[in-house]
Amino acid sequence: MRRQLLAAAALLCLPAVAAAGMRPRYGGELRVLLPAAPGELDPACASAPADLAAVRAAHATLLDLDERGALRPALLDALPEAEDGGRAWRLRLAPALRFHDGQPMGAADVAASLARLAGPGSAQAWLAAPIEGAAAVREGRARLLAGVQVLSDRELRIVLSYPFPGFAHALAALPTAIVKSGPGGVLVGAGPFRPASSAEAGLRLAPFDGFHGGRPFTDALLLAGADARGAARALASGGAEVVLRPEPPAGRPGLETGRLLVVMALVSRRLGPATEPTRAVLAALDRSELTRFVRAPSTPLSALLPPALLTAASRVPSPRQAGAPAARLKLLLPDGADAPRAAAARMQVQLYDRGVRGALESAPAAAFAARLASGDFDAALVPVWLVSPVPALALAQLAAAAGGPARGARALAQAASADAATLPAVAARLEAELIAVPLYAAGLRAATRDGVEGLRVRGDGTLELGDAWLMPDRGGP
Amino acid sequence: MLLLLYALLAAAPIESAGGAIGRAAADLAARAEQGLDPGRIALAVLAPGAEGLREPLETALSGALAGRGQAVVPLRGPQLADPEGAARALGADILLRVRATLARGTLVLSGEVVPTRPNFFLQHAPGVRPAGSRMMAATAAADDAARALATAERPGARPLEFVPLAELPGRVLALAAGATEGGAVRLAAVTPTDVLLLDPRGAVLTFHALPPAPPGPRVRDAAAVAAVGNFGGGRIGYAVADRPEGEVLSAVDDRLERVASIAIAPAGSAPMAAAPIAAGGAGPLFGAFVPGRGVLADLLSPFVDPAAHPRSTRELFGATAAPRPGRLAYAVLGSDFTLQLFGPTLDRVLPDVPGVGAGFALADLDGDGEPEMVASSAVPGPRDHVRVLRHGAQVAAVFESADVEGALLAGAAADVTGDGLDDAILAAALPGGGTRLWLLSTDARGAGR
Repeated sequence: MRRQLLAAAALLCLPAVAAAGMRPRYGGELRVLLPAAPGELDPACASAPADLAAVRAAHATLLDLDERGALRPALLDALPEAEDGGRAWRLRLAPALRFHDGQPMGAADVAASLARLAGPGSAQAWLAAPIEGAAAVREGRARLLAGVQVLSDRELRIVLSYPFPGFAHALAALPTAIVKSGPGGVLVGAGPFRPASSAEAGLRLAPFDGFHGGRPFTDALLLAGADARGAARALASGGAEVVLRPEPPAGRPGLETGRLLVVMALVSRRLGPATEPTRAVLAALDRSELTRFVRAPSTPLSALLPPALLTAASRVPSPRQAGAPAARLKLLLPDGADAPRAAAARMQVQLYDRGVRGALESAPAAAFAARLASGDFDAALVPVWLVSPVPALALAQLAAAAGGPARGARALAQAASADAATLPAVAARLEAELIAVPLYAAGLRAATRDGVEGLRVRGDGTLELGDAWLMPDRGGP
Repeated sequence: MLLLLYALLAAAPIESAGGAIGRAAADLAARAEQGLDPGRIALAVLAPGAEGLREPLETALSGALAGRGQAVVPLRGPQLADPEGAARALGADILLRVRATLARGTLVLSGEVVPTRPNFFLQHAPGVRPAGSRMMAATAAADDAARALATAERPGARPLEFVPLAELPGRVLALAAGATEGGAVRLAAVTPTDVLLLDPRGAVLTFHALPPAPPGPRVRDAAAVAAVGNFGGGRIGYAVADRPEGEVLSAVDDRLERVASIAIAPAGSAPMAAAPIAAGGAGPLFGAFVPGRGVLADLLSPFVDPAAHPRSTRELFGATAAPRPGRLAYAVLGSDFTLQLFGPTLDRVLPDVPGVGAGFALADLDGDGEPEMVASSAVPGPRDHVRVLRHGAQVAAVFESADVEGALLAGAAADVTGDGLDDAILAAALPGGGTRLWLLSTDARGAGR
């Protein structure tokens, strides 16, 4: 796992740009244009890149990934210590932590936040699944996780249902950010920025002076959505400082976020005998050609995990099945900016060449998820933004996206102890169980206007907006 | 030539006729002698860049002090490398250290009275620090004799060189240079964990661990200030952005010892001008960090001042001081990368200089009595370079180095090579961590070995 992490880090992470003789300065407003306006600030529910960017700005996790992908203490005082062969973990919070509302953050808040993540309303409950008692919380039979013991104001012990050497990485994943419910049920976080207002122009955030990692450099952060043309125009005219989108920024220096968007095709069992032949047809599609139609930086996939996460013996032979595939195939897509429309359109052409008539059908995100869970589709194209570059967590997230939190929990239990040698087999088994066909991995590009410094990409592919700072407008001799 | 000059001086008696050298020497002697009982004074006179002034000044100062009842022992040759040690060895009660420069038609003498014994009771205890020193200055409009002597033995202008000096682990947040209690020139480097004491070659002599940071939010951009000067019992003062207290350290015998703490931002109170942000020929300068940020408020004071208020909302990256007294005493870099230039009384003496990076210093590199501005680049990029800027009708770069690896983020100035001219030292933060020190000097022979 360590080797995989290092390889992933090498591919995913870009170092911060060093600036000659320059120290960061405070002030100014950082306007960031995303593929869509952020609409979800709940770390347990965010999944689209715009929402993940907003969650990263507003919330804080117990651990951080540095630019090389290594774990660093964040809300914790130090990296957690594994006990009992990775079955239990002891955590100690940093002193004097505070939420955005000024209230102190203690071990009980962490326990409550983890229970919330594991709860029935959470789309990312699979992340808390290894903790003892997670199933009871997910099914509404318990309010708190039995495996989370609050030892003192600042200390916790977390007991897992099975040994998971990579559990510390789960504590660095964005969905595990620590939140609490404020007045009126409003979520209160402890991230570098605190939400100030939400309007048509976007989500406006203010720097949080009490952030454990230090107040951000800018005095304000605006997160808004824009299409490709609008974003390019705003960047050129000085209407935005940062644009995070798939397409290449025209003439601007850009950072790649790491290719952590996995797009897979799922085939429904309701196709009956045609299920596996249909999967075989999809698996035989030319993925390289598909990616030529994707505007984002992308890589064809031969396994469920991006190459950066699956380094050894990752190639899985395409399934060969006797029998006829479905003659007509409806390809279900989610609505929204992240929908793999271009790839789906190209798949239609490739399927036609193989005698299968494909039709595209899109559904709003919630309906899309519900139809996936109930099997109400022929085939679906599922885009998943991985929240962690750790293979076991990535496989669990893909399983949860395809089959719901319980399926994700099972996948994590299977992958938790896999090493570099066994991981490809685990991934291949999951691929077969999900009746999935991995298609491609993609990322985003962050482009900045002149005078934006310090922006960097974290190991999980999100931008560290708190480190960004703005040059003064005037020049020098 | 020299004989001719001395003949010229003899024809115009130094003190009685009120020549510039005599007037300045008499003035300085009077100031130095204030509050002193008659005793034995060791006199060390340096005239970097104007060597011809040294002997006549020594003569004039000796005469003026002797006329006030003091027994004067001039220090010469090797004794000038460690004047305080030489003064003690000679049994002197006081060391009077004098530097002479000729700047823009004015003869400037800067003096420092250094007691060589702590007090009556401790005078024989080894290793005890002496009481604090006292600084003074005297000026006189230069006359023909002074001008002639000042230029008579000026060494030929050697080209500036920018050479690597040493590498240090960790990132240097602040750099300071100057003479410590023993009179030897030392560098002080503040890292996120320690204060390092370095010799002029950049070798680490000792270190002092920073006290632990208090609980609570840290500052996102680690920052510190440091200065070598007279801080009441110690000569190294430093402060770090996220700590409520700084410290004054003594460097006697190249050991760093905490002498006092500096309350910079006492809990529950507004920050006060107490952080030692620079020290040089015009004395120390105090400021304050903006709470929660790695930048300073626009707050400058020549003394610790709890009542000082920021002059504006401008934020500062740091300050530096010219090592020798003169018209240009301090430079302050704003977070707009513009350098403001101040005189000894904190009046703005020259127009601002925009486009200056965070590695900067004031140093009289050529010995003309007027410090040049040493400035790193304010243009973003993975490499950096240093320029030497001189203020004339407009700012002109008189030297520009080749690009170096990393970012030059701290600077300091002092005569580290011992040639009588200021040198600048800059710290480059390297991409992989660590710091490389660079020396900017007209006499960089042997540096980095």
